[in-house]
Amino acid sequence: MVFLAMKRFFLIFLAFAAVSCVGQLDDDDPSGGGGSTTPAEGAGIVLDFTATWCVNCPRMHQALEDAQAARPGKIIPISVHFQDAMVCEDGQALISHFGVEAYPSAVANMDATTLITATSKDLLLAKLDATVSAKKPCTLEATKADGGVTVRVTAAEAGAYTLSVALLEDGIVAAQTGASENYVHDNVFRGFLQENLLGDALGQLEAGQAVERSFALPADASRKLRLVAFVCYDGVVNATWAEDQN
Amino acid sequence: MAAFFALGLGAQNLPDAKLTDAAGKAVDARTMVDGKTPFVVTFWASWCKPCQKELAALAEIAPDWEGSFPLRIYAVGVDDSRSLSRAKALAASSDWPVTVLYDTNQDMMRTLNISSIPHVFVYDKNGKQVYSHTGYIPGDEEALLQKLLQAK
Amino acid sequence: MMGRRIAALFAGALLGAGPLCAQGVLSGSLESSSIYDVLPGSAYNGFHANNYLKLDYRSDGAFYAGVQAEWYPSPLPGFDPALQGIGVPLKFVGWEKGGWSVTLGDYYQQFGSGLVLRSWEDRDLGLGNSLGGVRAGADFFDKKLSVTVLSGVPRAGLGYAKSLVSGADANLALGEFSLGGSVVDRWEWAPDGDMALLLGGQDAPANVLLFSGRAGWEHNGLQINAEYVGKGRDFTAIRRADAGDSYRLEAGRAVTVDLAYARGGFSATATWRYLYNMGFASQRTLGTRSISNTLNYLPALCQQQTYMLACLNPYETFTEGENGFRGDVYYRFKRNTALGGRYGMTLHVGGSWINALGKVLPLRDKDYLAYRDINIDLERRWTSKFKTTLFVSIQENSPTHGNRKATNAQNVFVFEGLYKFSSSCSLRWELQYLYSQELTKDWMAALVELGLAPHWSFSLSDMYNHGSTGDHYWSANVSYSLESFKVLLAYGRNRAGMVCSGGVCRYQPEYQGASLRAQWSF
Repeated sequence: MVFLAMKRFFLIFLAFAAVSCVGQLDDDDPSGGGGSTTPAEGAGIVLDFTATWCVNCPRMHQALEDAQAARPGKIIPISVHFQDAMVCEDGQALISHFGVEAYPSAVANMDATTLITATSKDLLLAKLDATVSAKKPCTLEATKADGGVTVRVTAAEAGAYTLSVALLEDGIVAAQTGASENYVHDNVFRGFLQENLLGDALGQLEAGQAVERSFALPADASRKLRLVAFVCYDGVVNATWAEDQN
Repeated sequence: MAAFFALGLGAQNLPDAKLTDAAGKAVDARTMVDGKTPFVVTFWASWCKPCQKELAALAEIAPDWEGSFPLRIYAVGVDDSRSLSRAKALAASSDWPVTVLYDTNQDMMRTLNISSIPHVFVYDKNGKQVYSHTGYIPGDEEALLQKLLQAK
Repeated sequence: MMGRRIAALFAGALLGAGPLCAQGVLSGSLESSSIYDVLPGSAYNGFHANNYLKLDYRSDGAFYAGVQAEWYPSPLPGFDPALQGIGVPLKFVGWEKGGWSVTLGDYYQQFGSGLVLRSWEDRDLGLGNSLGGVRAGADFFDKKLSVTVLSGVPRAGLGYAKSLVSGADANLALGEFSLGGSVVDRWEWAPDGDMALLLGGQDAPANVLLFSGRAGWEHNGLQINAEYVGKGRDFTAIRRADAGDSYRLEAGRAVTVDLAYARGGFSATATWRYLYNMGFASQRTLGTRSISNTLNYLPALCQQQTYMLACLNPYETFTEGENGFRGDVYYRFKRNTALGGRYGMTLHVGGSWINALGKVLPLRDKDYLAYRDINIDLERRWTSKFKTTLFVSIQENSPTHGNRKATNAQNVFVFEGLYKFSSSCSLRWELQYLYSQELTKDWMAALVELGLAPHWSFSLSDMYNHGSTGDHYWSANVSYSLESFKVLLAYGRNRAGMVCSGGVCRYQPEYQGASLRAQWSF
């Protein structure tokens, strides 16, 4: 959990460096918000377990692209890498949690029962449709400021929800078996900002009640990191928020 | 409950299992019983190193056998079909003083409740079990032949 | 709960059967493997155990019966988590007399070499795919013809899968020739929505039929066996570029030819096996999560290794399609010859070469190397007290099954010695070295084992990855055996890797801590 330990360090560090570190990330939004946001209502999260050495993985990426083309803005892929140069600790924890053994694999909306290894657009869409949350979707807003992000969750129905915030990186060029030497890897999972792997508990919320959580962002301007936040109810994704891909 | 007392707990007789010999012909396990002399049955496989150590050790002390009856050792191979021919080759080129039989469906092994090999049994002349031992530590072969002598 | 009721029913049947038979014997076995894991940061910390209790009743007559109860308070790391709990997965009654046999309940059966059907149990792998139903067998013509018919539901976890397997098998022994044939059908009655989606709306077939034809000839120390297996059209995950690169239904086939020759101190074996799309699951929709979700036997063709460093990177059968060859030669140098010395020497040389089929590799148009190895071992006794073994294994493995040229090669050297101080005290040691330029690079390992026959055995071992991580994987073991009771207590750190038994492998996560294994047959 190195990434999450770093978060605490940064909170203290930024308290002193706030003045000099404003605008650390690539976003150039003067209003203090976090770039252009896409609430992406009804969007689903797809965990794509992948690796550069896995020959069938490009097929999964293609299937995801086809699915995204069929439902623009409604699918947010998160590519969790295994045993290659793009791994991260939280990613490894997700792999253990879902018991992923074959690559490529995919999980829709954090629901372990949807674990699939077949690379098919239709199957991905079917799994996303099958994991509709039991509660009405919450409203998520995220604002970035001072090297941190604050997420505001407003519940539509009473329930106990959890919040996860993921960091994704786009545009990494690395050889991919089954594709090419200069394959562009997008949606690469770099870690969660919250403490708990499956989301920080927000407690029992009443309908209409809102809570806020703040997280510090890593101070590494050299990488194009993008935020994706999602709320889960009973382990299944209930609502999502994603920053636009630059 | 009265029925329970009619049952004997433990030591089975040599079961009526179907085995095959090195040439592939069907052999009944009960043919090992000759009504005159006790014998040893040991279970082995080509991938089980302690089993082969046990058989090699038996081969080494067999010439010193001092019993008044012939030394009869049956080595039942429980190799699955994959390594069966290798097991046969290994047996054929070794000088184990044993009759090698094969339990390809592993029925006899299951009937005798063998959890791990090597596992060795001594049966008396009527096929009643008098000794059972699991595992192999160098020196076990001598204890085994002692038990065989006592079984007469 | 259901399992307990069934067990009670069978216990009642056993007791009830008692007075019907003149006399009977109750026997059984108890086995328990447990681990207490303390590896820092591991998801497997804590206590885990696999427990098995088997009870068998055999009457003097034709009747026999048995049950096997299994209890997993928390399955050992690396075993199917779905096994958690307690149940009675095996229960059976049967009659066996003359050449006739009938079994009702759960049983294990193999047809031919297992390519077409094999149900067996291997506790080290956590594999148990027994069939629950009915089986009947008969011998005719003075045991020259033996026939078996069966129908059963495969085991899944502590319960059953949603499919029915039926089959028939016949074997004919005619002097030096033997012939055999089998037919197996798996009926999966519940259509799977996911599979229909992948097949573009078409349902995967409910019935998949396999057949096998075998022939053998034995003459003067030479044996030849051949088997052909055909598998009916079934959903396959192999996508071939020349077939539209989509999921579809596809048939499978396997051919294997086995040669063995033995004469004097020399023997040789050779095996050729071709496999294409031969995966045969108990229930398609259960996926590959459970190692028991299989109905046939596709073991890795290469030599099964036993030395620590030779087992680091084992090869697993590429069921999608592979073409492999394996050969072994054994020679025993007799006592009192020039090379044999006073006590004799045995030599074994073996090797294998396995190609992955080009038609199942997305990046290739012809077959490519998946695995090859050469193994040599030389064992010699020097005095009545001292014996040594030299072992060399050179293995080359393609992690992409031939899609990319890069392979991992490992060269393993082992020196093993055994010294007998007396008839009840012996010392065995192993010194191992692995040289490799890939993966974890070089390793060295050592093992020392003190045997105090007939009861005690102590050992210490360590595997040290000096070429890469600097990790030590060590273990201290004590074992005690008395008659048919054996207990093994170990403490150490075990590397994550593959545990293989009979050519089938299971992933074992890293663990550190104490482990206890007890077995008792009664």
